[in-house]
Amino acid sequence: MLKKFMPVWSMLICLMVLVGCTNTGTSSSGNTSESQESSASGVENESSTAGPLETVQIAISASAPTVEGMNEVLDVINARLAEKNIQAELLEIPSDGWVPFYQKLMALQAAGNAPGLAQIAEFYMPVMISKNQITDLTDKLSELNMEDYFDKAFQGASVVDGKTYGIPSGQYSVVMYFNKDLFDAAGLAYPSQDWDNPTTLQEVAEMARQLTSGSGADKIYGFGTHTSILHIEHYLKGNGGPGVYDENYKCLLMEPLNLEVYQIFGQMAVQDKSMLNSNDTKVMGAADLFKEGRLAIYVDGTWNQSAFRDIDKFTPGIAAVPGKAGKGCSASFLDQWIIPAGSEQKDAAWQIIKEILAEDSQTILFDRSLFGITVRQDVLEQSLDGFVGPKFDEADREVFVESLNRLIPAPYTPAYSELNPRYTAELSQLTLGTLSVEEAVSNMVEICDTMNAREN
Amino acid sequence: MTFKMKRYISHAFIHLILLSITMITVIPLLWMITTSLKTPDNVMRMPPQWIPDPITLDSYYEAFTVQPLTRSLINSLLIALANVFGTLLFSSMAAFAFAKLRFRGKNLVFMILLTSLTVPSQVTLIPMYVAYSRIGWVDTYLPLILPNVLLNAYGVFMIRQFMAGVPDAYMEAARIDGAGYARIFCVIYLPLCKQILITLGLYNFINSWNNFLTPLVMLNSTEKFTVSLLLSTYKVMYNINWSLLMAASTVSVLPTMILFFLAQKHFVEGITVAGVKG
Repeated sequence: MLKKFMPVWSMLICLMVLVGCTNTGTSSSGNTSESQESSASGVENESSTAGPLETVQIAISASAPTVEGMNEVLDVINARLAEKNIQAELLEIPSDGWVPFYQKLMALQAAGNAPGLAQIAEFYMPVMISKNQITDLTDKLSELNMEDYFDKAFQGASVVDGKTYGIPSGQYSVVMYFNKDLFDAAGLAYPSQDWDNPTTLQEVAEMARQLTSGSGADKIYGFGTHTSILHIEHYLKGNGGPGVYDENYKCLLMEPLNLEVYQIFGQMAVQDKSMLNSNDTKVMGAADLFKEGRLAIYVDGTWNQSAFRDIDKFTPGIAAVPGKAGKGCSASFLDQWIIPAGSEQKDAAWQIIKEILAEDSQTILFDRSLFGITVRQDVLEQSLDGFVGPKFDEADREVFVESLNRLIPAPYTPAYSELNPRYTAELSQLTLGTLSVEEAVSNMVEICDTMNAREN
Repeated sequence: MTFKMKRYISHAFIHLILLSITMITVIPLLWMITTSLKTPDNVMRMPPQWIPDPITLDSYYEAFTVQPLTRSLINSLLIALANVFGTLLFSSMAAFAFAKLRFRGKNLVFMILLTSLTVPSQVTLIPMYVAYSRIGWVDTYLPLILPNVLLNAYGVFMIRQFMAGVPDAYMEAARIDGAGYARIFCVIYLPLCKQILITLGLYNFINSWNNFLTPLVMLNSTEKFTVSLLLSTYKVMYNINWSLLMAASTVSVLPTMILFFLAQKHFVEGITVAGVKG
């Protein structure tokens, strides 16, 4: 019996050793696809300058479209970087969200294998800056011709105490999408497309009430909006309020003009039943409801544009985010290129950032709808029609572009990841009517103050 | 109402509850499969389509062409098999020692082994990565196999509990007949543990197949990605092609589903036996 088992176990041990030792020769931190190898060899051949070739890894999410787009960019920029003996290659990090991506990045950094350059979500910037995990790029900014870019894109969470720690890989704003057919059917005028004189939130609430009809699966909702704490800032400042925090991260949601915004939400959700609540979006998300023609007004990020430009059931429009006269604004969402503090190739990484910001690289990325709206004004101008899509008219395109000049920083703090789910839960209670507006907002203030104080 | 009638109603009621629970489990799977057969435009159509119209296999074709899905399936299979057989070999040997042999500090060592179960793997992941990086194991499959195989506290505990319930008389009789520990282990105890080994093997296979975090941190090269890693690459940040993702997901769950159906009988029996004997 023992003899009978021995060959089986021996074979399995061999299998384990073989599997475990499978290493095709890639370095411990290396990751080179075939296309990169071919482009790299091309670059090496072209390189006539003496000295070793410095290979810099760019850590990005490993989704197929992103990798394909970035490889096309690398083909372009590696040809130029060869003169400086620099070669960029991708480190593909498979991740279905930013959390695992960040974990991997931190593991690489802890082990001394930090990539030269990485893309990261803006909401990680406060925590990474506070932990000295990224390089200060302030001195490098003078090498960029800032007139080429949307200046508001270079603000946001990457700037702390006047120092800049990241360069935007793209930008997203928030706009008010609306269903023109539903407005026409209800005999209502379209919401304002003038950012200096937007439709007020109270007026939007009245429109939403009139646009709401039906019940159950056939119900058409008047108003929907994103519910994270990042998406409240433009309502608060647009209403003349001070925003979520003061400069010391003290939560100001109970301030009268801030509170007024939540009271209007409460009125829409509980009394008028015209605003989507968390139960309404369990089966189908708000963006999908809008696409299906079951939501008349939807205030959300311009990351929806690639999905909304294919709408064929109705004519969509874009308006300014609700606010009082002279207060129109839009929260910014700015994922960043960062140079990790542990990177040993900081200068080469900066050269790569500059190449990625170049017109041809940005055109490739924007035409593929990668990383959001380009931060270059000239590229946006050239490719705007394709990005916004033919269903939207000239006025829509203008309000879309103007949103990028109205960006205000979203209220990120180092505690954002922990506090946001709890803030959202309180907002759900408010829109479900299980808590009064004052109770819910008071709870939100306590959550924000407690968690921010703990993190600081 | 007769007793027979009452019994029928009672059984019908129980079956109704069981059927409801089954539906809760099965419906997401069915939805995954139907979504994988839809065109992207039909995924969010209202009312929802249970039978796609038109039915298309385009997403499956795309799933295999845009990413190296076949390669990742092979990678996952190799890692899972190495984990399963390695764990069964080493855990059963350790369990035999803890259950049947007498040596100084046995209980202390066993307690230390069990305390390792209380430490979440996320806590040790980055220190382990740093260590593996120093010895050149990063971007190989070794960190995904060896720690699990050599120190599988759960496996040791499970088999040890079963072996402890087997009477010592078997071992004593074999010793009198001149058998050594290795022979006793292979000839007597391993065959008796068949059900628990199958259960543990299946459990290990599924765990290894679905493991995301450890391969994410330890592997860098696309050609070495496991299927759970590769699945995440079908999603673009902020944008999801649901039919493509569901097609890749359907392909990825097939091996574990087939394995579970094949070993279902042993799995249930193994759980029962482990519970009773433990």
